[in-house]
Amino acid sequence: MNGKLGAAGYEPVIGLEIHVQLKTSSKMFCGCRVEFGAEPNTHVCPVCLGLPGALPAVNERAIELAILAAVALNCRVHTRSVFARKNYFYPDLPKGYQISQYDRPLATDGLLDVPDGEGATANRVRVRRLHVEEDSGKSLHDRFPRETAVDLNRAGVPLAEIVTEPDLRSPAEARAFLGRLKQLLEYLEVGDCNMEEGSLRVDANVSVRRVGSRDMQTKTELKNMNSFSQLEKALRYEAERHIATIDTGGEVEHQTMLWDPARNEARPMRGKEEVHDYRYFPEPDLLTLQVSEETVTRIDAQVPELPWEKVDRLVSRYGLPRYDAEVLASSRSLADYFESVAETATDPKAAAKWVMVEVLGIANEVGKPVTQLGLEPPRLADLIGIVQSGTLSHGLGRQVLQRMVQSGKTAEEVMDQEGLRKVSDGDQLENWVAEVIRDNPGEVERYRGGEEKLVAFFMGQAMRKSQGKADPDRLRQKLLEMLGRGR
Amino acid sequence: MATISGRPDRPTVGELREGLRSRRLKAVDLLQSTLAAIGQSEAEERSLNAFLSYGGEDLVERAGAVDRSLDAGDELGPLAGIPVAIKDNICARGFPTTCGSRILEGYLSPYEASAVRSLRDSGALIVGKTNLDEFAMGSSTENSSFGPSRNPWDRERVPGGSSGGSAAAVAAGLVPVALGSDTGGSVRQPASFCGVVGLKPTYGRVSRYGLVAFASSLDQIGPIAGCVEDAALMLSAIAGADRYDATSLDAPVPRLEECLERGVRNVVVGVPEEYFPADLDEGIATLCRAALERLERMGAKLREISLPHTPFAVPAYYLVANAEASSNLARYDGVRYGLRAVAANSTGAVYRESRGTGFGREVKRRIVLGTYGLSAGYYDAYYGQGQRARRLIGRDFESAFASGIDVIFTPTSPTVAFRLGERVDDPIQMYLSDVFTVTANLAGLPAVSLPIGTVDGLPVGGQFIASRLDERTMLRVAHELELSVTADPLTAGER
Amino acid sequence: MTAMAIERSYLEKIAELARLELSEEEATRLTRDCQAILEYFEAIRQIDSEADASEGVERSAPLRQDIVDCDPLEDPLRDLAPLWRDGYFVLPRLPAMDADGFEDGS
Ligand SMILES: [Mg+2]
Ligand SMILES: [Zn+2]
Repeated sequence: MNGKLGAAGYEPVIGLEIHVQLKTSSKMFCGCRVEFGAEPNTHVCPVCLGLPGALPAVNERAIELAILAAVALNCRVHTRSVFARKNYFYPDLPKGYQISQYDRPLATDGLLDVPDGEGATANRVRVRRLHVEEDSGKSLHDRFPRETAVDLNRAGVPLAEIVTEPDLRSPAEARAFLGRLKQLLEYLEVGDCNMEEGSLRVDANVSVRRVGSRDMQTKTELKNMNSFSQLEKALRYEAERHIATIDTGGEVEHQTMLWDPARNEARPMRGKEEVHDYRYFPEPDLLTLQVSEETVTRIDAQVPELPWEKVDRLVSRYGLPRYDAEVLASSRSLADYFESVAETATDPKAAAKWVMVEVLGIANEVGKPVTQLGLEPPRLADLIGIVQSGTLSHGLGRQVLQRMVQSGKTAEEVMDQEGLRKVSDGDQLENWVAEVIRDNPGEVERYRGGEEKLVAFFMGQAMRKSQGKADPDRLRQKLLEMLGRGR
Repeated sequence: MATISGRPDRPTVGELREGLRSRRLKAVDLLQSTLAAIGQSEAEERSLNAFLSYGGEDLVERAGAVDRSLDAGDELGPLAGIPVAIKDNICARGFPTTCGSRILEGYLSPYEASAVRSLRDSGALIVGKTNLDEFAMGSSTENSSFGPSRNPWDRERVPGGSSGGSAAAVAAGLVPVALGSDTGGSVRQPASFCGVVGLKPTYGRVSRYGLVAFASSLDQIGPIAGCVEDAALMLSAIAGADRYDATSLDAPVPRLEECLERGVRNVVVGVPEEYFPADLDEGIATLCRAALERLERMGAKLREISLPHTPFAVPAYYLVANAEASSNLARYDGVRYGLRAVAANSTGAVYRESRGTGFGREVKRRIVLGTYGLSAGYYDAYYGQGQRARRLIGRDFESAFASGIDVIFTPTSPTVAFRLGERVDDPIQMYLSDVFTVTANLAGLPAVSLPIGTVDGLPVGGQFIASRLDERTMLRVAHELELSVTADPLTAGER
Repeated sequence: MTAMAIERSYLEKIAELARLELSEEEATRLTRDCQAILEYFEAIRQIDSEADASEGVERSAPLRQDIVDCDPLEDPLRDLAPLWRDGYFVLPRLPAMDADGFEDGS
């Protein structure tokens, strides 16, 4: 996979810095609404505009969500942390500083395991810190010619910044780590984690060293990766660039690189000759953030079953294949949905297939989450039971499911209304079989001459006549009986 | 009437309120005479230049509403119909908020400061905005971009600063009370220079929301008034917790009556040796001694104390204040409001040129010093040391109050009002004007300056500093001393 | 202990960090003033930097509930903005933007 990296005898050393937007109704330090895609500069107030005299006030929910993420990442949550000002000038930074945390972050020393795809742990990644901060606004450079347009709706939106130690050893592993982190944060309902909308952002730092070496090498920072695959590509590009530089006797320069997804390359950020000096100091407008042990304990108790724990349990409790369990556990609401179905269904494995294949299929088709299809779990369980009992064929069951979603009716109601019920009535079956025999004299001749495999052909024809309603077992019986008569 | 010799006679808020209640005085008439007096004062040659803006369309309407309510016998707020002036670094609707700076010339705040809202809720009529050193950075009001204010006692002298406009306006009788802001003495020192009362509340007592930040950990809004009683009245109107200011305190607001209880018997007054150096101006030292003797005669106990870290106060103050200021003033970038350099043709130019032309000399000096003090490699030596010194100064006070001291008495300023232009080119001399006042800000303590007499015909202020949230004791002692001084004015030396 | 000093070149760096355009005369004068002021601040160095820096009883930041309820603006933003177009604050573009479109910060 990373052939070039491995072949050269080098390994990348990668750390990630992730910003996740905390799922609150209002901003970090003011009561403005948080809403993606609103008209520009409509969710702003004296505070988030940085008007003279305005002051910040901390959003309690943002702190709780950050603590929830921190405890789930096995971090130490500090009872005392300090907001700090990060000073720099940028058009979308209204106050000329960002309120963040610096030398006293909310949480430190966490861990998150990266999976190897088989359910085992491939690598244990240390989380250096997790802190809360406010987002900047947006500068639009393509809105007007030669001008920058500034929208401050996003200014002051709460973020958690999560920084890992440089414990990742390949671009693929970095991607897997980010995937696992995203899944965790979604499970916790800490954030939406939508990379397109920017509610999940990732920067990376990378250096390379000889495999087995412990030396620290010069690293570069990578920015502007807007998807998981771009993260992996950018890291591979940059690691290979480092190797090429070192192999040709050059030296890697410490700098910030911008990933260009259109050209699939990273370029040094230009126009930034000036050395950053953020002049951090404690935010005097806010007192120290104090979190009691009781609060941490209370929030710790709210940590739900984590995705990988859920996979293990689905496997052991319902006897599901690991792959199925992983699909079902990919989101908390899907897993909950499956479990409500499995509770009333007689066969959990069948329930899993129905949810994974049929229900998820419909959900993808209509672009809605499974929970918003209006398909109550007990009703789905009923349908599965009807199919299991043989009253409906699997194919008919699928049709009934479609109608249930469309109409909001129960399986029985749909079946009654559409006459969708397996027909096992002898006279009815006899009529269909008789028609098939009449319509296909040649095939009947050949069958009777010994070509027994033509049974499948007759079954298909008869089933079509019944519009799929015939009970297949009874139909086959009737078919064999009637074909046999003429021998 | 609370007057000392040489000062214009002027009614107190209490007297005005009585006049309005009895309907001998109409709010509309009071307002119109106030606006006329301000207008006349501003038009004078060598005017006080106390106001940057005043008047406004709906004021007469508001005053009329007060009159109608009073005629109807309605119970109104404690400041109903009282004209109040606001330092121009506090956002008030209906007036520009310039902070004495070109960078905010004509800026109209789309929201109002919590303290101003409180005053309006109490029925006050905001009649104008007063001059100040640019962004409250200065001790003479000479750093205003709109010209210096003058001292009503001697128009060739400064009124002090940075709340010089508010102090001059009250001293000249243009308004009975005004709001100032005090970061290192900016309410108390001009009150002292102008012979009026200036009160800096405990840090957090009054919401800073809408006070344009100079140094956030030190800034506090405070009243300037003709007498202690009026200052106390103003304090009770503006004090209290505010959801918009996380540093505001949820503590019971002192009731006016408590502040004015009679008697100082057995009150222990600490006299810190560091505030009475050998080279202290003889006239000021004499007046302070006289004030202390009076307190003793009235039954207070004097005790000599030491606040050993006082010598570090001015450097600590400027290191901390400038650092915070450099960050607080970053928002004036010409992007969202305020001055934008017209010729700027890039983002960087918008910043550099707007800030370069918008800020005055002292503001630039402090931004540079503050940026330097926070920059990589210097943080510990400057900002860090400043904060350490600050904590040590705070502990000096804690130990003093823990040892049984009720209030501390000091001179407010080492000098009387100096001449215009005398110190503008000597920043260090200017900074030393604050030597006795910065400690209360560094420690977050309440302090009040009140007139204790005159030297060569110029007023001298004495300062009381109390423990955190104990404005009550402080104002009680100040009130008692004021009554004594008013009854029998003190003067010292004709040089 | 070396004296605290600020060189002209360093002053210019600081002014750039603070985005302050200074005239030649201003820069000269500021360097001189800052030298003198920093010398005066020198006294602060006497304080033992090991002196206990911890605060006594600290106040805790009060937390506000996550409710959409902001202090409303009483004037439209376009009245405030030096340049306002189609709902945006507008300013001349960063020169680097033409090439890269990078974003800084956060
Ligand atoms: Mg960040
Ligand atoms: Zn807001």
